[in-house]
Amino acid sequence: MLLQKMLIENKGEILDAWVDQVLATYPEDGARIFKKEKNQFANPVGYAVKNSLWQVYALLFESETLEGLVPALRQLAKIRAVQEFIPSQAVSMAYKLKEVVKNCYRQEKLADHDGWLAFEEKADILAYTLFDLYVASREQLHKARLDEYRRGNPLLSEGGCCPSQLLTGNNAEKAEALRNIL
Amino acid sequence: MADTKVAQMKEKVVKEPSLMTGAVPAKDWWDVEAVFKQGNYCYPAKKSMVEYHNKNLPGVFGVPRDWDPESDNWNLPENWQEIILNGLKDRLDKFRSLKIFMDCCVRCGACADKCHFFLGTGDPKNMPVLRAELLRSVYRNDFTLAGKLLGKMAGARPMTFKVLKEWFMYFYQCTECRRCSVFCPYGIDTAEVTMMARELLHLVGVGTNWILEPAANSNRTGNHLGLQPHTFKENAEFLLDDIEESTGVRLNSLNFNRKGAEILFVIPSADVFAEPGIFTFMGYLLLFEHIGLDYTISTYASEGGNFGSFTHNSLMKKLNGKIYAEAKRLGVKWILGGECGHMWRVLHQYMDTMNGPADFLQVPVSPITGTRFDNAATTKMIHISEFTADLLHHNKLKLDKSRNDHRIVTFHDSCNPARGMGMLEEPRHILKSVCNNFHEMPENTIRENTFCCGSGTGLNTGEIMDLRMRAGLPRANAVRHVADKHGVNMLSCVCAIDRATLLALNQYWNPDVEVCGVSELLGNALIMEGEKERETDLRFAPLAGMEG
Repeated sequence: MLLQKMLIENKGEILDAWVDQVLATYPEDGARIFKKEKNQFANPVGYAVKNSLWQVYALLFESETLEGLVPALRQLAKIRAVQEFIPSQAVSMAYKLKEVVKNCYRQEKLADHDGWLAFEEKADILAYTLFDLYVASREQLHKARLDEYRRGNPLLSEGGCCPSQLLTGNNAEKAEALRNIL
Repeated sequence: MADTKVAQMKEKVVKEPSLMTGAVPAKDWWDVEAVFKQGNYCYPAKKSMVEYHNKNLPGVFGVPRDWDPESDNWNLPENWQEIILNGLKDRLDKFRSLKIFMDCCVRCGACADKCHFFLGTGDPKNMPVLRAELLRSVYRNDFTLAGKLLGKMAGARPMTFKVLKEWFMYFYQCTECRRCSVFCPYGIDTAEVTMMARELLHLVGVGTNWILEPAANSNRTGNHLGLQPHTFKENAEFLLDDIEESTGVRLNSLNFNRKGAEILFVIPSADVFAEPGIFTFMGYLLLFEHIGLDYTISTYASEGGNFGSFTHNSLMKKLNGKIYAEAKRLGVKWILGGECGHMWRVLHQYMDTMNGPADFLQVPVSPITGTRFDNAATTKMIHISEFTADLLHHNKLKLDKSRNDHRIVTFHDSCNPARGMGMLEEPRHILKSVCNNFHEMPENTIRENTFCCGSGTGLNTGEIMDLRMRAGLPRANAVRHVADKHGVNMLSCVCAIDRATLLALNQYWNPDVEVCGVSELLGNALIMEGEKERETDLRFAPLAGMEG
């Protein structure tokens, strides 16, 4: 059997395993609830993981075009970018997919070298798209933080709610750091 | 054959404590230590702030000192455990509710997945049941027979530095929004558990600057920014120019500290200096001019928001006391309150007990409609949305709804007005009266079930922006849904912290959605006597059809 055929025939199993692996990056008790609750508003993380991965899978392996990959990943990347992950964990979804597919490949005893290369290329596209989205999300986050400073609430306060007072270093260093921030 | 190094590295990435909170999934919850890193904690209170508060309320805020949450030495007093346990004992004796909340939880799990912090992080210690367990475990250890005899088997553990760190981590990952309480079959008010834990932390000098400094400012000058009376007045008057520019009407009714006025109007101070609160303030002023209300604003009680309520009941009481003191000094009949969040929890649930009875005031009666607000028979203070909804109900306002046609509006029920005082319909009545385009967010995210903005109770500070974004995810997720489905471009609310923090939240999650107060939209729609043809709204955005 060719790998591409296996990816279609075993879609449900592969996706279930992929979703499980991504949810397993959360604390166990959290992951259990993220997996169980179906309502997208009662469970925004679990829903985003499942919804996003299903859409991405269809785009990668069942569609002629990868158009739509970025919108399909954006919410999930944004979520992971503000959660308690180190960067490699935050964008680990492509590598999780590789692991899952590798296991299936072994189980089915496939020998489709060309198919694997094609799959790997797609997984790589997923990896660097996620990386780009992660970085863009972090930049957006910092911009939101700076804009909040610019709106001035902390600076208006008397007695030094000024963020510079909370920075480390001497006054000259603080002033320089603040200039860079603002 | 697997590469050993790669396998080890993978293991390291997955099993090492997260950089943000130190959460390690593979251990029992109380074996997991809280690890403080830049970005997951609010900066500690400055020594000078603690010194200031200690002058007024000795002993409540611990020994003034410099300390660093990331260090293993917080420079705590030697007998800090004793201080905490004595503090807990005092509170168990004084507040019967706390004792009940400590005893009656059966760990049914109904609250577990209701907290926005949990839903955004997946961290089990953000399940309300487990967050409360951080305190309960210490309570069991020292105040229950089972705990004393059976220790860990009975879910008891001694008060250690590790526990203190957990308290500082997780009781500052609770915004006291009370969503979990709605689902608790016993009605345990987790907000009050957090309040008590924060009081205990303050007793040993563990507090945050973003709370203690605004509280100091509120005490000194009347508002959390420390604006002095003349600045407060000038800021407010400056807005009259903007109102004139957009409506063509110069308002004459704005006044301060006027004795003999019928009504004292108390607002969150952000409404006179920060966008978008200033537009809400313009809406208030237009309404009062429209109906000829006899009101005054105090520069002494110029902060409705009560930063004391995030620290200790004695500071909450002290700051709140200004409102009645000023009402008495000015000789008003009753008090009207602006669009603020936790201000209303304090006013509605604690003010009467703390600083009442306000027997020098009268039960609020609308001078325009004659409606008597018996719901405020004891506090003598009503919400601007209650007051406005009554005016609309009696057709006392001239409105042009089409002036909000450039807005497709949804409404965020701010936690405290919604769950703390049960005000659900009034803002909606106003919005439907002044806007043609109004869409509700999904049912399980509004009214009693509303999701918090994620930044209340003094968590609206920049150093924890990541944390705020994940805590606000459930709210932002619902906003995104109506933005996609109905093209919603304006998120309205009745809370000053919301108006400040939903801006950042939307900037990250929903960049096309702006934030406003309900009274701003009312101000846009009000037809004022002598007005010019309106081309823009109060924030100078062109009205529908005026874009060119």
